[in-house]
Amino acid sequence: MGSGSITIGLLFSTSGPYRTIGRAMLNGALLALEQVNADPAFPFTLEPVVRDPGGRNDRYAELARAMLADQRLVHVVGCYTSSSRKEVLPFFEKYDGLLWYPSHYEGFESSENVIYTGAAPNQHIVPLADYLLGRFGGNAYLVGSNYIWAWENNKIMREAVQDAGGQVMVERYLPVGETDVSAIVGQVLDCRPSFVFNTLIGDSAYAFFRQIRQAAAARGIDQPQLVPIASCSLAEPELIEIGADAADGHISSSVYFESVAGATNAAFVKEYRARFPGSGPTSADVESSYIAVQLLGHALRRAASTDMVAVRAAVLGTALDAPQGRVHIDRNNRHCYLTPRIGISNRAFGFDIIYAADGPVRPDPYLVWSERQKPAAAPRLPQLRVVK
Amino acid sequence: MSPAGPIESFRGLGALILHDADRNRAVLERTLDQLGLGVTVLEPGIEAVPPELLRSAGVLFVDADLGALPPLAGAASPPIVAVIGHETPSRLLRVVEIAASAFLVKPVRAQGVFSAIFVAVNGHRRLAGLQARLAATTSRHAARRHVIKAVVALMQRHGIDDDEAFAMLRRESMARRITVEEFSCQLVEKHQDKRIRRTGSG
Repeated sequence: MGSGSITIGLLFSTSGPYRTIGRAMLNGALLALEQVNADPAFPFTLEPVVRDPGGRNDRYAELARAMLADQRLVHVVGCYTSSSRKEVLPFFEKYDGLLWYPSHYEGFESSENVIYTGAAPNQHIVPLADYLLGRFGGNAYLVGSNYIWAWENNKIMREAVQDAGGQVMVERYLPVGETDVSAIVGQVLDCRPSFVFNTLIGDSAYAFFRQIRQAAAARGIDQPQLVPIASCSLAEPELIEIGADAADGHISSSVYFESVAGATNAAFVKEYRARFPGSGPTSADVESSYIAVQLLGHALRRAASTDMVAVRAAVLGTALDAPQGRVHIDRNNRHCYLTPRIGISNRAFGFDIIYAADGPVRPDPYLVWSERQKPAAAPRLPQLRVVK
Repeated sequence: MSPAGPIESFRGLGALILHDADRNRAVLERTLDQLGLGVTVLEPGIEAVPPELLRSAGVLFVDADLGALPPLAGAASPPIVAVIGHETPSRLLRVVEIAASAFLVKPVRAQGVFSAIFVAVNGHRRLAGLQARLAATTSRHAARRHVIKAVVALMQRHGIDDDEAFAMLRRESMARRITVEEFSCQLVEKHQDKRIRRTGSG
């Protein structure tokens, strides 16, 4: 392995529209990298090349090409949106690179050049749909940002609602970044659905959470109790963005919350907060990029080579005690076994975990093996275990 | 190029492109130009494609990842090639809804564009041929009752059997250069007119 130093790329948008998440992801990756470098068990150190595409797809393409073609890097951890991932994929295929992709996403991909460490749809939306339909009833209001993440998640939710004999009352989309949500807020409070399924992202989501809380209060409606809002992307740093007045009482489906019990997570949270004192709480985005770099380190050690094929083979046999619990990569689709959880946000900008799966769930990016695909499924109670 | 065989040259064919302004569209425009097609690029947010453009185009490339699409499926639409980025059910459902005859997967490369046009244009033509035959069969099927009535009427009028009656129908319709079904309809209508007149006078 040459000089004992291996250069890896870190491609995160720490500026631009989703900078909050990009920064969290970069922090998680750096924390793992520093731990690998401090651990004498690894016979090498990792040298990061950090690049910021600013959330622009054309910049992702340029920077990925430069890392792979000019700097001859093989392993790059990064990307957030699916469009950014699709943009860089051709370069990884052309130059035999491996992208370590640390974001939850809508599924329906399994590239030979990607290791996916974020949640697949059967690990976030499917358990959430089961929970919402069992707990609140079948009248759903779907609101989202107008792009692929919302379209696909809403399609899965719509089918789940219909299978359970419920109905989608309204399905609305806003342009990414739109913060005029007053019409939707009014409509939600008029229709009084059993629940709102939210796939708005960034500033649109924060505006929606704030304004619906305020408008509900003006009408004397206890919003978290009577019009609950559920998301599969809401994380701790976003609760701070929403603000104290409206941060509590929201349902989120995620494989990681900062409040996950156990010594591994306690140590992880402590180290993270000490290393990045201004960055606030840990979150699923921090943890998934942390997992990606840890797995990369272990796979490089096992492979004793940086070669893409050798490292890809080595990662399949690597399990990790991650902050969320034990994780490993599925042999067939290179996605991660992860543990689905459902949390309710509280006033301390954290989540109280109300359900967790019994253990790591096999990733199913094409929803081929999930219960959801069974024809004419009857409404079922959540297949989840009560934690408290 | 025989009209019965497949179309193999697309020189001079008009291509419409409804695609986000990105690298994929640039590659598509260049490749179509090299293949001798005339290219018209539509505004990605267009609400409706002018009907005369749809009618005159030989092939239409549609970006399946666009947020909203104008109405495209229909008899007046040219063969459609879908350009697919996200292979997700909601996007693929739309590819089916616009009745695409072929597809390209992003990132678009020069290689594959000719195959997509070839399959789309010829597949679309075959489908149009099948649809025309289906329409003809359906209308013949609908006229079946009239043919039976005409055969029965001729049997009664001329004291002949059904084979002879049908042979007479075929002969007479060929002489008039119309189908057996059309002639039968005319015959039955005339017969009914007579009956109505008879009933009226009697």
